Amino acid sequence: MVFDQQTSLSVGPLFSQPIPLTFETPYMHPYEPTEKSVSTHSDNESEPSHEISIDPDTVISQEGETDSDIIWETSGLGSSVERSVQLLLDSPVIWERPDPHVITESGRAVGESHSAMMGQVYSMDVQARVRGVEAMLSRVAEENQPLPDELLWALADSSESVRTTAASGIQNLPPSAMGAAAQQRLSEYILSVYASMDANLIAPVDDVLPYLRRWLTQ
Amino acid sequence: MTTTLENSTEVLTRRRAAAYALGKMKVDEAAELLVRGVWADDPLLSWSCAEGLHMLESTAVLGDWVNILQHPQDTIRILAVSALGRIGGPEALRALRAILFGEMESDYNMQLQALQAITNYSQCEAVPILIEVLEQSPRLRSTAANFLRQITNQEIGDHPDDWRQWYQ
Repeated sequence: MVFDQQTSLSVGPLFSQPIPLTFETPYMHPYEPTEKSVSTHSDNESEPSHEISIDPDTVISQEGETDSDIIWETSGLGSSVERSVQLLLDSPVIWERPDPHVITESGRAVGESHSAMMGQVYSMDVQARVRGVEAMLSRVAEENQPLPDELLWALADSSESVRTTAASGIQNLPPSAMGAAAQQRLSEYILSVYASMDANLIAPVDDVLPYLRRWLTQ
Repeated sequence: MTTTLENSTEVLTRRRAAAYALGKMKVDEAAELLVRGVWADDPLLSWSCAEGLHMLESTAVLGDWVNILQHPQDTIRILAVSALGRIGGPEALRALRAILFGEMESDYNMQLQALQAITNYSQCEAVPILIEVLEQSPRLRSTAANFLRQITNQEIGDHPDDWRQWYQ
């Protein structure tokens, strides 16, 4: 899941325990959080703001370094009120192990029932990501599920085999799984990539775009 | 994508993105739409459509590229010359000759691009034209001689007579 420099995430309502949010960066550029702590805010005015603590020694370094994770702990959030947390980062990040209570940018819950598959999709291990993509493709093909965000994001993955698996898999989906709505969704994603002018996204998508021609001509 | 590009009320960056994507995917059916876009009022949209059309490498739009040689944007004119070189064939070669020998309105940058485009042709098509350029265009002589050396692997200077002698 690729975020822009400032991304809002909704954090789910069931905070009986601190929730570790783990990030990794698959990109070549190191980043640091621009702030060492962030505040939450609530739609409910009676609820006080809370600080989310960030390990002050946290520095995310180059791709492939296993000790580069950053832990953001939502300590002190014992509330049942849904909050939004503004993450201030100076380069894109990807969720590594999404918590079941975290709701993605698109509003789709990464629920516990999908956690194993999603764990693969967000893994640092390329083969695991490929398996995750294949699992999503099967679900779309066999159960007529809408295209998941993660399958679209896989088109811009840093690994060529993940990208190719996703793109050729989408290419070979049956028309029943790629109806007008799915085609529109794919088209919107591709347009948003190119309109972003972000070379980190455009270059990988450029690679696999010809696979998608079947669904994007309209 | 075609719907997005066609829609004049659509946001410009999305129309440009669609033009690029259609070219990148080599959607030949979009050629006519891209050609229309090249002549759009917005210079950025024109450029993206030209870029998309260039990526198509479609022989069906050869005549359109010849027209685009007269486009008001110089970068698009140069792209048109490059497209002719990539598409190839006798009609494109005639247009490239016309650019090099002043038989159609062109500028120095277009002529340089035309020299480069000529090198995409076979040696027996390219060499006589490049020698002719040595003879007729002092301004292009040095570049033409460089291309001649490149495609023939001959270490001959810039003088047209030396090349003519070698070629006969």
